[in-house]
Amino acid sequence: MDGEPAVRARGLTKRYGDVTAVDAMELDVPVGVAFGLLGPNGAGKTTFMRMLFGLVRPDAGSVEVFGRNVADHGVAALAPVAGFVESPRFYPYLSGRANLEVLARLDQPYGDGPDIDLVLETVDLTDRQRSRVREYSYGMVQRLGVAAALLRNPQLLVVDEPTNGLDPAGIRDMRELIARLAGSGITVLLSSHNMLEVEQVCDRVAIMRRGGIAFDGSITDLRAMADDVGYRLTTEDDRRALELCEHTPGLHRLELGLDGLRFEASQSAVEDLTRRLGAAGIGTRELAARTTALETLFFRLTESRSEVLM
Amino acid sequence: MSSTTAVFRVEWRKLAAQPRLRAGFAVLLIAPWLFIALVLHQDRLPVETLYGRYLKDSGFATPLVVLVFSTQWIFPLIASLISGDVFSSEDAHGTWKTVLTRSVSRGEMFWGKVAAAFTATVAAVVVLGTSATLAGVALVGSQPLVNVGGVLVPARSALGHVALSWLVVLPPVLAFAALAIAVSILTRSSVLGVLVPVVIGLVMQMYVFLNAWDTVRHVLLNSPMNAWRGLFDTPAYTDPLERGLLVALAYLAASIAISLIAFHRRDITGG
Amino acid sequence: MHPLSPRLLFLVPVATLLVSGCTPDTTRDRVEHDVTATFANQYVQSEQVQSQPLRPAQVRGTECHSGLNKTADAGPGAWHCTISWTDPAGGRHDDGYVVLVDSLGCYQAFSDEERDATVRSADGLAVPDPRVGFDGCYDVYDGRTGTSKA
Repeated sequence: MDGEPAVRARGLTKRYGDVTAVDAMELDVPVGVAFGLLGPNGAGKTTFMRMLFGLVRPDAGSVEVFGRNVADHGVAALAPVAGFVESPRFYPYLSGRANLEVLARLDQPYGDGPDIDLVLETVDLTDRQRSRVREYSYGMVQRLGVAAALLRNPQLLVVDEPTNGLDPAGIRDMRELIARLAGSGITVLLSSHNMLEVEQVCDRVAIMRRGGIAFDGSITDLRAMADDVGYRLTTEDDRRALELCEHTPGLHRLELGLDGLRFEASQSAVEDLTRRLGAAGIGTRELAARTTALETLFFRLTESRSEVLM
Repeated sequence: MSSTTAVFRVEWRKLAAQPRLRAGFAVLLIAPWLFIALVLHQDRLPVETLYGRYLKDSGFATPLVVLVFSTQWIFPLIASLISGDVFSSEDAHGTWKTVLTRSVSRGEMFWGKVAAAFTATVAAVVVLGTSATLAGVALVGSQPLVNVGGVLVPARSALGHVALSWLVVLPPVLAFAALAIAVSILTRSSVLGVLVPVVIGLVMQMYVFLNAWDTVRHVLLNSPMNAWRGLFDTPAYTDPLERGLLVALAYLAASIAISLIAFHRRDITGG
Repeated sequence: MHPLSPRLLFLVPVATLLVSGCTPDTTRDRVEHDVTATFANQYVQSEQVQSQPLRPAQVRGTECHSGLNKTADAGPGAWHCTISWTDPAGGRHDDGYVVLVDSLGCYQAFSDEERDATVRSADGLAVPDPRVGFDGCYDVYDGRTGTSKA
């Protein structure tokens, strides 16, 4: 297993009718890192992860886990993997604990079974373990999903949008939990459409666009590429400001919306713009950064619009 | 094999946790007692049903009359209610991805679920048959019973025939269960998984009533379902049983083969 | 996909069974033969209930006709049978029975006249006479394929 990446995809392709969900995807997830898989909805993240779990059969190419082909080795290849794709699902008529017991049985038919108390404790569901999952909130189901994954003592933890539906405190706890797991030596593959989340939790990131990989590298590499920040500008006369902006170098994706001008620009370009606005006698009412530099880069790489995603 | 056993035990636990199933078993347990109690309180007997005229003469007529009723629509219903849901309930709850990302292969998942569905179906038939026999013996008595050859059969032998009759309906009942499994895998719908086999059962039943081409009837599941009648004749005959067994096995094998292929090939995209 | 293999698995036995014969299940021969045999046994029972010494009736023959299919005398439905028998004392009887035949080879027979006839059992109780109403079944795959047309 030494030297083998945790996940290796080669030429991985999946088509649904005319739609190519994953298109000749190439990806290596090194062992021991927290790896972020970023992309807007529909970029192919979910289909890729379903193929990784053997739930969906690739039309071409292969995906290996710790050197073993999932299509050839099936559950044996997936023994060191745990996690969930899209929101985790459980039997609503069973309690949270009963669900975990059932899944533990499927993991180890005759083993002693893992410590269900411990994983419940880890995700803070001990108090509600006897309640039926039907009565759980979205966030509790999400946490139970992580608990179900931890039951397998995985070497590779795959989580898909784990903070979906959580309240701000829940989001913070979940991110901390994943960071902690990643710190304990587990390889984490985190799928998200939230740049900020990946930035907080991950060391490496791949950005998916239309079924392929648009960027693959460390967060540091990505930061180095990210100069521009997305801004919103409102002035006393947006039309004149627009004209001015059009003649200012370094402003990208400029557009006039109902709430003012939007554009992406580097720090120096913005400084230049403010000087020009002052010189032209156009009063600035508000100039605000809408997205961070990384997010701006992400939207540019995936050719998606921030409005859709945020 | 051990993983198949694990799936079996998990399925069993899930079935037992569903109130619908528990209520169903309670009905199977109680219904024969109600039936024979009502018959005993009436002057008239259901003489136009096989063994109906002997309901007050021997307790062993009760399980046989219940068997005649059951072969018509209760068995298809039992088989469908249990088996039509075992696969598609995972679709309904979106839990395929949950269970198939554990250490269980699709083959093990399939056979474990089939084994659980079949065991539960057999259990339902056994519960109904045992309950009907106990109800008959308790409320009427264990008198000798006249068989369809016009011969009075002593209690011990009659009991053996009753048990054998209930036993030989199992292949066609399991064929219905396999049919329900196939429909629920192909449609991924619990409603259709339950409804379609019941409708198929009713259509077969209607064909039997419809005085049409007999050869077609021989390949319907009604033939094996009713083949037990010949065992309790004097002399007994087994042609319908032997041929019926082949018919039931054909349905069973075809349904399971289609189910297995479809289940192995499908992409789990929902949930 | 191998759609043929499961389909074949189903079709082969179906085809075999389809080819295996096109005679009706309910034939005059089968009904007449089985009603005769079952009646004889029911008669014995009737004697036994009344604690008579065992003297079987001599059933000379049974003639049955379908009420629905009068030309061929085949198929399920209501049939009418006349059972001709001689009692141990030598008295000759021709008793009419309505025989309700189902499509799976079983029937209920009811005597035309003595439908509710009872006999007195050894312990003095009036019980239904086994002779006047009985159930029967026959093998729809046996060799008695004769109908009135054939």
